[in-house]
Amino acid sequence: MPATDEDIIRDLLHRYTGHVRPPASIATEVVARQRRRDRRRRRVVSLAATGAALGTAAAVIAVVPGQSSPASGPSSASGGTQPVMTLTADQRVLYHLSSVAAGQPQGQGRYAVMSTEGNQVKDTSVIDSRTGSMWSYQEGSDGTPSGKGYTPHYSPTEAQFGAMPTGLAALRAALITQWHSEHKAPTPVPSPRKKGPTLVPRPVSVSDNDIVFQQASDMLWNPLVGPGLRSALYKVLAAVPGVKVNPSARDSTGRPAVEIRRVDNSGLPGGRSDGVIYATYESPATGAVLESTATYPPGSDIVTPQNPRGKGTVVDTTVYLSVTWASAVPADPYRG
Amino acid sequence: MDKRQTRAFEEFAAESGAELLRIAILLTPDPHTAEDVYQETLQRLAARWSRVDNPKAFCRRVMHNIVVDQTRARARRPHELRLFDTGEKIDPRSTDPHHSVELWPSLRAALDSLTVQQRTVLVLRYFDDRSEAEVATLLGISVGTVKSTTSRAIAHLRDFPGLAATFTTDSML
Repeated sequence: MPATDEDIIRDLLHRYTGHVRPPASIATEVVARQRRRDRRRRRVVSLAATGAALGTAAAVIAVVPGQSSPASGPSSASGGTQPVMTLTADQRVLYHLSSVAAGQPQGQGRYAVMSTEGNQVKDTSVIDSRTGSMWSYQEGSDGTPSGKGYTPHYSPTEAQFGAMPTGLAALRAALITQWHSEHKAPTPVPSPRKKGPTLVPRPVSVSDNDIVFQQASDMLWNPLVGPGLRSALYKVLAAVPGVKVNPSARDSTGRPAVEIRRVDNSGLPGGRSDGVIYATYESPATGAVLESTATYPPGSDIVTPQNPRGKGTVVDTTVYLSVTWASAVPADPYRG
Repeated sequence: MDKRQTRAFEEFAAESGAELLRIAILLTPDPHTAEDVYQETLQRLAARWSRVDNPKAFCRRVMHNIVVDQTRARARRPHELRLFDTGEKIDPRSTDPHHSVELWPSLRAALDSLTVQQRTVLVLRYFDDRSEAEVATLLGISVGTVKSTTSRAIAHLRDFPGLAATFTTDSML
């Protein structure tokens, strides 16, 4: 029997929480969510840090070496003479998508409210177009609110996206410059954890085409990307070798979509991800992203709630359900 | 996170998850908020896993910061009336269910009436069994502040309606 006030309090606190057991799936869901965030964020540009480089690239680069494709075409910022182009069927689809995207209105309102679903978890992300900060609300697999958070400066701002070049050669060069600025430190670093082994980042052999596809395709989901840049990104994708386009696809919810896919063999730092198939599904009516998937081959160590040990092929999907604009941060939609 | 980091994180969550959720329950006004705080804490830990030296201490500090932020946010919003009980569970191991049913709301209300710092100090000292020096380090305050805060919190609980009898009765035995 407790004797002192401290003992009584200790006893009360332990007694009334002794029955609590967190669901084991939470940790796995957290890991899966973190991985999706990493993937989405890893290639999103940090424009503030590379703004100067972008300007230089836009001014200097006029021709993309080794490209005989539309990358040096009529929209080039260089304003050079127009070469005669022959578009492949896939490129024609992407150019059509580009013109559709260019005709869409810019979002009105400070906050983009984006509803997504992935791995049976619904998310609503609210992104501040002025600061890039993000509020996220999450609904768990059992339909109850299961998490929310705030990440400052999660995304480039609308103005930073707006400052990016839209000429194809300049944009391609800018995407490559951004990627290199974010992957500067491949040197071994000692583990900050006391007992852990030294972490040696896996060397990355990535081609410029890998980089451009990664950067461009991972920028498209962001609602802060304006119509001009979105339009240019589709043209940049059209010039990347290895891109496959299916104009009559459907996303996993059955919506008509243009599928853009490419096998990426560059691998990722810290994990075995060779041969990952990245695909993005676009609305043929608006040019907006409907769904993005990453198909990881067996042995890629990717963990999801459905695949807790990372064995076998894993398809990581994010479905973009809706994007609306608001003048204030909305309340948690999953609260009753 | 690579495979090794993921496994290490999941092992940590499996080992310490229950303890963290209990702390969250004691630091927050209702179980739903506690679950939010718990998950957000794990999310922040996952985001910084490779750089965190002491995950347990990190989680406690983050939890405290989240609760402070939420308390400030709540203070800016109109007061929410609690219309009905949220169905919180009682301790199934309790030998006196009637006593548990009656006492849990009182303990919850007593904890709610403390300041965030008092509540956190109390939970870290007597639930997490941290020393005064450890609590001071975790919260970035002095040991003297920990002592005085603890003392005031205990005095507050002793006088709180519904708990006063518990202290008096138990202390006399």
